[in-house]
Amino acid sequence: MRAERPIIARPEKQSWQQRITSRTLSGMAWGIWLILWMPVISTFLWVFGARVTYVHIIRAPDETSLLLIFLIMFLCNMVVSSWSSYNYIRFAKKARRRGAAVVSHEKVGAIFGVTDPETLSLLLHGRILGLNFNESGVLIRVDPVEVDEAPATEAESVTA
Amino acid sequence: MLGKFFLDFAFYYPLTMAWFWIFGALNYYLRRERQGALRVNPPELAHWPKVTLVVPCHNEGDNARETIGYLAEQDYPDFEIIAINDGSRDNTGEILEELTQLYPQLRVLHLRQNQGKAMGLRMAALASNSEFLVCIDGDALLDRYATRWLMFHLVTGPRVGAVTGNPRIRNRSSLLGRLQVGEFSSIIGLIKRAQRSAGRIFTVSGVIAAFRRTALHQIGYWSTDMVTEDIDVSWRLQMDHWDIRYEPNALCWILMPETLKGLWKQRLRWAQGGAEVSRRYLKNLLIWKKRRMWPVIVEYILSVLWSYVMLIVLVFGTLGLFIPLPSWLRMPGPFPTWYGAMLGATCIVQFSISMIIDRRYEERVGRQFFWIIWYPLAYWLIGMFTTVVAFPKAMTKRRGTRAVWESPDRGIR
Repeated sequence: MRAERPIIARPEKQSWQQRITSRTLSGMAWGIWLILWMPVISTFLWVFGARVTYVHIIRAPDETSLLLIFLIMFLCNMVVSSWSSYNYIRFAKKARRRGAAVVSHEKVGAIFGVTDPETLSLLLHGRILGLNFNESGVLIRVDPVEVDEAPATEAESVTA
Repeated sequence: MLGKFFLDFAFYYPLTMAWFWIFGALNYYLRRERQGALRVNPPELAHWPKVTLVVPCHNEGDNARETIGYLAEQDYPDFEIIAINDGSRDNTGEILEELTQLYPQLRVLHLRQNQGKAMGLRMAALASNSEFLVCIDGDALLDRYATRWLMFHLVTGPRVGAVTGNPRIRNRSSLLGRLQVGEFSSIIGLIKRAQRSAGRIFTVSGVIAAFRRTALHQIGYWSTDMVTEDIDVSWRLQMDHWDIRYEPNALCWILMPETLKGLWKQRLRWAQGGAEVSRRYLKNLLIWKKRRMWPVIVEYILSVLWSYVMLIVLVFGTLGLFIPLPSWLRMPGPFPTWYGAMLGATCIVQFSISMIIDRRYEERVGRQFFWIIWYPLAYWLIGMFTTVVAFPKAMTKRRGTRAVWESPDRGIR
């Protein structure tokens, strides 16, 4: 199902000038967008408009042929569909590579320089912890923190 | 002549990419999404491994209660929540500690000094009691069913290293906010689907992504010296042959900037992140074994070239209005005529298709259609300028410079 609840849309929190400006600017942009289409619109409005279309779209040396754009669209579609179909046939529902063995907490600790079992256990089970780093960003000390109490003293803390 | 070449590239590159995205997304939608279960009926799993929900927070005093509250409501039988208070200067720490009384699943890590998001995530991986991590931002609200949707891929696919969810924008009071609603549907959603159809994803969304800890362990976890840790980790996982999936049903409600300054800063960071990652891994990718990443890097390089070409077209097109230029450098002015009409038509098709696809996830999303007429101009231009500025910045950045937090603009609330 669709979600709507957490959206924040409060245009009324903007000033009326900001709201009018946003609407006017977007309205103007749509106007400009329509003007860009004059060569095409003219074909429907003017009986000789077919010539304008021919000049602007098909033959004009300075303007891109619509046919070329259709060719680009066709090629993009062909490339995407054939490549994804190839991948789908080759890889979907087939595990071509094996999964890796789950890494242990000790190995994770080792990569971060935490080899002491006591510190590792504190990191894994402590509810609220203070982590201290040196200037190079290396974890040097882990302190347990009690809620509503002063932070643990250095003597109680565990050095990584 | 040169002018014509530049103009053609400036026009054909976005046109071709847009059609790739449209057809790629349609392919994904028709094959995997249209007949799929609805968001409120996520698939049953054969087993329910424990999951760690990770929230790095830096100065999130205004958001922490709501964010943790949503996490605690997850429709998943076995999970813990690890909130990382990363050197916040506001009352984030106190609020998180207070919330531990309310939510028995909540654990809190106070990083005594600001270490950056990547380090926060690394510490959460270290303190996690599970093999699976679902990571969201401190101001994001995770949809009740999202964890189950994300876990479906990780449990059923042993080579799935990460799954990226579907970020939805909450704040849409201003024109900039509404434009971004259109952007996340029509550009980001379509690109993710198209890239998934093609087999490789440029990046997971840092604001909502699930990871297999073993996969992260094999690549050395998140890098602390990249400004966008999500792009970096996505590339390294895929280079190590881990699969990354996209799950549109895993919704996450996010806040985005609603000022030009905030948007500029955010997009500059994104642009710099892409450039940093390309710089670091380009050489490693140029081997046959990594060939499946080639389209990702080629597309990225073309997008950087396009930004510079577009700048040249704009500069010389404008100059040509006032001073005579040599014939080989002449451009037909900065205002797009027939080229513009074709790109405009392509954008409208792209928006329409994305709105049709998105109706599954959000009511009345079509209302945004009126506002997104500005999108092509506003965002392609901001994309162009941020790339032009960020690319040299990333190329000259010293390796090892730590990326730490800056509080972003979170829009009108």
